[in-house]
Amino acid sequence: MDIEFLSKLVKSVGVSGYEDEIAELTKSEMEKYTDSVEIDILGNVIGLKKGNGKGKIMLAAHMDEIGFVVSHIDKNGFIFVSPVGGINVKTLVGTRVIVHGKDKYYGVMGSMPPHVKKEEKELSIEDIFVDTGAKNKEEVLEKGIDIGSIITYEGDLKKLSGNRYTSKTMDDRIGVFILIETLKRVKSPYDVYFVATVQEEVGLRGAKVSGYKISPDIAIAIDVTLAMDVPDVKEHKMVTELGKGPAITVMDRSVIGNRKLNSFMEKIAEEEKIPLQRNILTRGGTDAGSIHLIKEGVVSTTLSIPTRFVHSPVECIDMGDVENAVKLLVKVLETETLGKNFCKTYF
Amino acid sequence: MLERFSNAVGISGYEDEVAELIKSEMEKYADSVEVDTLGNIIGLKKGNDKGKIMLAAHMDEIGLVITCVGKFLHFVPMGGIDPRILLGQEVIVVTEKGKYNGVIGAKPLHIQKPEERKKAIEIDDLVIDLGFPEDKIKEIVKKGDFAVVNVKFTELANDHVTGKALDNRICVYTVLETMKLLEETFCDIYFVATTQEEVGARGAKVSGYKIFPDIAVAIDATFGLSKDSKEDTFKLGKGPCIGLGPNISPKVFELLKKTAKKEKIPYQIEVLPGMSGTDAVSLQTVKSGTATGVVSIPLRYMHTPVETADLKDARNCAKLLKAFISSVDEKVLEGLKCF
Amino acid sequence: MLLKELSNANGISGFEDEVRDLIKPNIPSYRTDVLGNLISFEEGKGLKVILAAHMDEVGLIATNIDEDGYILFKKAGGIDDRVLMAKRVVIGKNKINGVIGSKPVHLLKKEDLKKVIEYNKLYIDIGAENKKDAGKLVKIGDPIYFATKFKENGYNFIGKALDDRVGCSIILDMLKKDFSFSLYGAFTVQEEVGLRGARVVAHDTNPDICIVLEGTFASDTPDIKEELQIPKFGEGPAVTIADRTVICDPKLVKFFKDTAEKNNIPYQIKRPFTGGTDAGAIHLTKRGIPSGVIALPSRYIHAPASIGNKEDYKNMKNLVYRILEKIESEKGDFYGH
Repeated sequence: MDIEFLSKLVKSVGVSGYEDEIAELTKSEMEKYTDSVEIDILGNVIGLKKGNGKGKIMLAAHMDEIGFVVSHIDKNGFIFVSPVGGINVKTLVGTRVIVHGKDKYYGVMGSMPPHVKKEEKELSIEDIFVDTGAKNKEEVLEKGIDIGSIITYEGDLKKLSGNRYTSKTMDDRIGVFILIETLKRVKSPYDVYFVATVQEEVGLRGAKVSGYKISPDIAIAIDVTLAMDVPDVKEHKMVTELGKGPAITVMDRSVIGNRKLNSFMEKIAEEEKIPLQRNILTRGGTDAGSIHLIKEGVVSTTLSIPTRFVHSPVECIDMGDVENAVKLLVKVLETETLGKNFCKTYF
Repeated sequence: MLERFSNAVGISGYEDEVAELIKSEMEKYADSVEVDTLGNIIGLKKGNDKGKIMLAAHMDEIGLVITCVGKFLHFVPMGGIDPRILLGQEVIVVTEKGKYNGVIGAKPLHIQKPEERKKAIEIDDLVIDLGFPEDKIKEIVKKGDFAVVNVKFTELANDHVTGKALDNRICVYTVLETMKLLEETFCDIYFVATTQEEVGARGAKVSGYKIFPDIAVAIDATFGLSKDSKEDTFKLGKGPCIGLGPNISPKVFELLKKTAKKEKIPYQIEVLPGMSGTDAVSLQTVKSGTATGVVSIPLRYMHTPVETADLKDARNCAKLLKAFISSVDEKVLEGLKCF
Repeated sequence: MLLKELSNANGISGFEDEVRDLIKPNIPSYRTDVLGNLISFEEGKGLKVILAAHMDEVGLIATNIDEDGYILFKKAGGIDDRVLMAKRVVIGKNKINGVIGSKPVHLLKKEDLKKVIEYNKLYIDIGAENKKDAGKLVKIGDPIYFATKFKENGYNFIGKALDDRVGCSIILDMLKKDFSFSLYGAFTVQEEVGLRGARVVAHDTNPDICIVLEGTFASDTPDIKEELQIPKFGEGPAVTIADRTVICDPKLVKFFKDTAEKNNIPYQIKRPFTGGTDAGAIHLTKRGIPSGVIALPSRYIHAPASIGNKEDYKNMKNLVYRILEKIESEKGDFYGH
């Protein structure tokens, strides 16, 4: 596994709607292994590895990360923000961020000190501000920072004990990583579209238009899911656990995983001795949510990597789960009977 | 037929059993029946090929999805459920190995503290008990299997009926009754038992795209007047409710109302100022749009094991739909886009 | 100014007839679709541009008449319940006058003043004796509007439904001009209940670029914190970078800003990730359509009386015109097409 590349992926900038940098990185890597790569109207990166034309499979992993945009700069140079995607306000105070203007500028997130406020109420995004050290508004504006400029979490990929790693934006750069690893290894009889989608965090948007363009027979979204195997969580609330394999989606808020496809993949996992968990989420969605409802419907599911502390700057994963996810996808894509069961165009 | 429909199991995404049942019934009256990508059952009764009318009634019911298997089964709801109704309720757990009877347990009075009984139950407090030893349970049940309430359909007084899943099996039944009544029609009529309505009218979206009808009528359940629900509800036995609002084409509304008056079919009017919360939400914005209608059957105690309806409303609804379909001609079709 | 008639015209989501009928004679040709969208099309060469504004306003709808002849209602679109107390309304096609009743202060207890009365506890008095009497004038399902009449002076205008009759008004002005590219003017329905009309218009017309003209909120009022006060009343039309439903195409956004700057038109940036518009539905149609939004910042939208600034309106109209003019002069080389 190319950990160096993963490191580049997680550091790369790409808040929903502003994915240029990560798109460029992904495109140039994809070009090494695909027959063609294009970027569509919304910015999705679509790589195609042609097969025998017996069916179209779409793999989707989203490039965008959660972050912020500047909504106001006060006269003292403090920056107020609007969240992009689902931000957990509790994780913000004391976080290091990067404000993107003419260059990348460091900042820290602070909030109004609690004892100064009149009433005790829950911390909201409106109480948060970014301190770049600037003394006044002009100093900020000079750096090319204005309303609409983006702000991302700061952080590097760090190795933890064993095979575990932590970083910002494992959601969903680990998915993009799996996309590329699968691309490198697979030799499939089908036309496989490797799609790094945009704007998933703000409503599964990129997948909708790229899915329409491709009109696949089968789609598998690759994302992260919650691993709540931490202290004081009862077994039935854990969702998934680190190190027990990737997880296939039974249901989340956006999609009920196609049961025939799920059984098919579980059977292959069993034959290949690849550990696989089942994922049930009552909140949150994935690109499969958009794709399965395109046109006359697409057989879809999601394969997810169990991740601790999702949507925080310190998401944790187990590389063993990642390797197993790649192995499973490669095997599924190379299985002849996949087309026989699901692709209308097969015969 | 309604009894079989109500007793059959099929929650959103797992409609297999009830789908099979509906398909075999439809095959008796339709020219052709097919199943699409999301599992919708689409029956076609050909007319004179002059236009397309789609009647949609969802076949999925609400239920429980098993999240953790141990001595007891933990679960989360599929669709909207008031957790308090589950306490002490019998359930059926459906697995690959078969169906098993279980109970959602309730602590007996004798060992409860008085304050406990004042606290409302939440989903997290509940588990399903199959009464088997743990290793046997782990053999037969897997995470992702589902459960429904174990309630058998039965008749009450006065043509009333009660059973699980009357939302929306009574409407599927109504659509099939409409099929039986139909003679020759101007348009091609599509009868669709849709999937996954309870989680966002998803089946309707893709079947609507496939068919792309000129007129699409969603038949669903609405709130019935009962002792504790007097606002925003409709009396049982006073006829089906014709929906009025932005999610409904004013032309379709007028035609339904006119037809009901002409055929002397009792009806009520249901004002829906926003979206209707039915398959019509998805159907209206398919491609370049369809002219939608919503016809609902009043149901008491919706989304509980004791859903109650009046068969007279179902019969009148079928009569209304049949007469409506018969009155759609060239003029009506042309007028749909005239504003 | 047609804006006056447009603001006074009544049309809640699903019942836009009066607004539609007002617009029709003012456009050269049009068609309507099955949801009631009104679409005008001027064929040209090269690019297909769509200007969209919604015809529907927020209002109420009659759900029941009680035994004493009072009308009960539900809300159609997003309205803060608190603006409803003691307001004048107009009901249905026949414009029956009514009032949303409110208990006199003399009869209230001190704690009552602290409570919010929800819409389902409010009622409308049309002066009827009883249910039968009221039934002669009002039907279940009749739309109900605020009785606000449009007024203007040299500086501003006050009216209902500035969101989005200002957009409709500006599109009408643009349709009077001649452009060489293909231009759709789309007067959409049901935006306030979920961007419904726009969704099907986009599917049918398949434009290359979409520009949505809207009425948005102006945040410079005393109850809003200083750092959240954008956009402001009187500081120019607001260009959207992103709202809750769309992240506007960055190339289009830059194009709008550059055009404003080159022509010395003041403009603002709308507060990011707030509100929603037809662009949300349009930009995700089929393979995606690059979309942008320009809006008039008005105070108190979604309430009986909004205020718009005349300079802002003039500047918005001018900005839209300059943008279309620039698209015309690029002659198909615009935007990489």
